[in-house]
Amino acid sequence: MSENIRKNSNLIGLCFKSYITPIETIEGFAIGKKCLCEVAVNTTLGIFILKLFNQNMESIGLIAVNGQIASEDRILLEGDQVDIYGFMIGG
Amino acid sequence: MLKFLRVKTDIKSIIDEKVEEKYSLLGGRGLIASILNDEIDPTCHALGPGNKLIICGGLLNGTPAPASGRLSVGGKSPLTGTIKEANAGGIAAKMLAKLGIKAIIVENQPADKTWFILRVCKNKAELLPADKYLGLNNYALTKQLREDFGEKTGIISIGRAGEYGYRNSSVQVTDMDGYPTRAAGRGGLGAVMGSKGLKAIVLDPAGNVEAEYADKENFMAANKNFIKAVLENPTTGKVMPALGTASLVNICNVMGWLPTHNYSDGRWDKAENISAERMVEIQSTRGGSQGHACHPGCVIRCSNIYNDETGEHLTSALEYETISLNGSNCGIASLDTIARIDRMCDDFGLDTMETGCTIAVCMEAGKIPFGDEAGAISLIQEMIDGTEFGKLLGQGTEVTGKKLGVKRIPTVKGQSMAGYDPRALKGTGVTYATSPMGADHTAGNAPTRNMSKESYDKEGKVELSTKMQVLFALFDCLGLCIFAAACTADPKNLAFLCEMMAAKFGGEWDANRIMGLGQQTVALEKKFNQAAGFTDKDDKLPDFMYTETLPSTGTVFDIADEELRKAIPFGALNQ
Ligand code: SF4
Repeated sequence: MSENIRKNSNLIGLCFKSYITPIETIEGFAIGKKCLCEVAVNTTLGIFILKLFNQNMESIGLIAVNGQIASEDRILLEGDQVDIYGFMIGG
Repeated sequence: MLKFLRVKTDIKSIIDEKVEEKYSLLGGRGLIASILNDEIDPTCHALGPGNKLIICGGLLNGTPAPASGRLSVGGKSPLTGTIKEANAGGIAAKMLAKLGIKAIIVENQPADKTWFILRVCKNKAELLPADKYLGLNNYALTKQLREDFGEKTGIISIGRAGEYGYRNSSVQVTDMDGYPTRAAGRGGLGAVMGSKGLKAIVLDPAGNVEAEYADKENFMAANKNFIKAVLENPTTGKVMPALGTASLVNICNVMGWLPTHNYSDGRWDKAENISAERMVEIQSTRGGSQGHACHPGCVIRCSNIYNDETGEHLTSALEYETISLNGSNCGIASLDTIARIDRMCDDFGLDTMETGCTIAVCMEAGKIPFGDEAGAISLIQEMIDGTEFGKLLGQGTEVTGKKLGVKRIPTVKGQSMAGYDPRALKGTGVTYATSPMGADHTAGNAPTRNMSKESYDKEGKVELSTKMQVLFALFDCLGLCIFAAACTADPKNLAFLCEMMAAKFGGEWDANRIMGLGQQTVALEKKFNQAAGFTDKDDKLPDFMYTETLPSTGTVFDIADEELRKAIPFGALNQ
């Protein structure tokens, strides 16, 4: 998804994968499967996550952007890979 | 009323034994710790006649509690010299309950070095000559045994690694498809079984003993609530059935504790190739599946079936530990190769974790380069062929590493670490150092609830590890899979388990009483180790973990020995 074909230039495209089911419907979502979604320019990771998980935030164990632990004030950028994981048990 | 089946291999006798009152509220790992303390000299040779092999289910075996068909296998470990309980899925535990057996205790050694099969039926147990089966590895062995004794028999067996006395050998258990894929892998208990001349235990499926309850109705009601809690937990209810334990590959990589190139790093740029997500892609093209249960009654179903390129079954339960230790830790980025290694290990009867770490120290020593897939397979083949070098590898990571002059050997008390670098996941590092089992994540894996960079700090990790060691010991006593413990972070769900115990055994059960089972177990294990000659000084990680910075997180293991001693100290039983 590149900016020059995006209809709304105030949106950016992200690649999203989650082990927790979001409360908001995302087309093509399945546990652990990458899918594409769009968010407004200058959206922080915290706002994005809150919108998707809302009351389910407690289930989240780890949030990564581009394979690195990320903080909630991180501004999301075009093409970012956002991964949401639950709690780790086991092995 | 359940009984003990005591097998005296020196005189080839089997005794049905009434269970003494003191063992009635013990099961699984706790029962093993108690019997070993009562009946064996902790200084005995692990492969000599003085050791005993104990095989049993947990306190809730035979009930419909979720994931309650775990099998505990125990004895003194020839790998670590400590007490050992290794835990497996498969169909055997539930069959033992149906046959009315609380534990099988195998003792002594046949003086004439003969080998036998123990066959257990509804009203009879017998020792049969094993000549026909000797030398067979687990896949051929279990196929033959099922042909001879019936397709639905449950089998507990050793491959040739156990016959050879390899200290990294496993005890394998057949799964619901009849494959010998479930392993009590850790600590070389396959060699203990082999030292008794016992090639396999064949369990008849016609047992009809029903579990007894103080109040069956209450048990079923509490059990229903507990199952609901397990299924509502996002990890055990959704992630595990969809992606299995391999889902940890990407998590551990992000957190920087994925063992890479013999614990030289904690993050690997090829991790995606060995991830659960990649496994699912592969399964979509050639069959195989996720969401498989390793034994009847598991509602979590974290297991999987992995097929080869032609669509034929290659292995079942390609799990995170096997993937990380034979994958990133050896620089091997192919799930097909790791699955082949898993198959070879299950077949020959090797602990996949010890094997992965042993291959990695060989790579560090320059025997073969990191990432050499064919070389890794050829090292396992050397163990199978019993070459001189193969016999060395069969003694495990520590012995091999020392012989090859490797300085960075990732072991504690002679047992290799699991798939979490303790410099980053420090709570698990405390468990590796202080667990009575040697480096063992199933004795108390301890990530913080919120997996932030706080995980890398030492604060609170001794307490966290202690809590997890007790909790996991409790689940091993109940015979429940440790994954079902995830929901008990909420005390309301632990209360359901207490209600189940009260309804099964009578009396009052609260959090203190139930956790006491776990505490008592670890304390008994420490008591055994102390009598075997272990001290506080043995409770530490290898030197390089304290001195070499883990590049992915910039951390070392910095928890002082005095702090480590606070995690379940020796003598805790008397306090
Ligand atoms: S959760 Fe997985 S390992 Fe545990 S009992 Fe179920 S299938 Fe077996």
